Amino acid sequence: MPPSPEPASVTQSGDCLRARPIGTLSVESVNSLERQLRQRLDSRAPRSLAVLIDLREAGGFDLEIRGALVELQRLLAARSRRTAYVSDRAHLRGLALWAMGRADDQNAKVFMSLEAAEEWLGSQGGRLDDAQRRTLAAVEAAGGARGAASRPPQGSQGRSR
Amino acid sequence: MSTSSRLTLPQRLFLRVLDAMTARAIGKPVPWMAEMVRIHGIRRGLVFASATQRANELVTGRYGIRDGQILIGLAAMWNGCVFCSRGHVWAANLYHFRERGELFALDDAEVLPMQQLPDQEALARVLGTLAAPEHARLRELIERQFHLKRGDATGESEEDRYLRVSIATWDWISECSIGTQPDQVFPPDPIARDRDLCERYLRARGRA
Repeated sequence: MPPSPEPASVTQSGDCLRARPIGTLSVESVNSLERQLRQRLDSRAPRSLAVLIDLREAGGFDLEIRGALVELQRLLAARSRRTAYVSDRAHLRGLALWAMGRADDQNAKVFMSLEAAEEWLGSQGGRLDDAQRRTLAAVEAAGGARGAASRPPQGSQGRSR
Repeated sequence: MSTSSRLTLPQRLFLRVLDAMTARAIGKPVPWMAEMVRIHGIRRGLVFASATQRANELVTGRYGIRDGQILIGLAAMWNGCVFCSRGHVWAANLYHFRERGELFALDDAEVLPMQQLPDQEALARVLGTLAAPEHARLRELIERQFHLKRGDATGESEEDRYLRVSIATWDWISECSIGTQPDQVFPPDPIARDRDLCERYLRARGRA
């Protein structure tokens, strides 16, 4: 009897591993992902491969997966050059962010779109440093000095979406 | 091992100061402050505290306290943050309830379930609850914020500077707040100190 198919597929495109779990994330599916990613990451020099985990076909998750997800993230923190998650559901993005924090992986980030995730994989710099830099820049651009904020003029509107 | 027990002694003292200041401002400490200190330490923690306070002022100053809190709550909602998403929408509800004596269209209790929906569906639901003509401006801002957050906004809007403040700042805050549990959420705003108002609001929502 042939072995059961893995509940999550991992493929390679160039120097990027792409993982695409389907359905509810379970301990089994997360462990399967870790097994496959570990096998491929161990076959190459450390930090030579980036990892993209596409959660857009994952609908939800069992709360029991949190420990397994942190272990997966620790593997990625140690072996992946850079990691990006993409999901179109906020609670999955929150779960991924939580795991990155537990694993102390500043080289990973989660995104709402594939394009933004791929851009991150090609960039450098830690997620937390980036968050700080963007916040300080945004505050400065919006009128950083106290008292500079003002109500918008009557009838002002953006021109596009 | 709790987050606080992993802090150094100076960090624990710093945390106590922050917690005391937060409690004085909004009624009680936020549950994720220890995590903030653990992640950032003292020096960077001071930068964090100052910048996030300023960001709150800029967004609420630009859009008014109620709509500013809604935009902040939604910025956090897209990150999957439980505390800041529901908390700030809750604060918005309190301001609306205090000013108008009526319930706001977007119930804070709807926020966490929306995080489980596909993004476009969640956005449509938010916009749908704010369908009344009086919320036209807020709907525009929410939709613009969503597209800026997702990275597919087109053109330029003079509101982008302020919307980016909400997005960037609550990306940074979510790093610390992401582990908060739903039963730890409260409105992180000085209005939460008005216990009578808070209780009347909950009764009006049928949750007291």
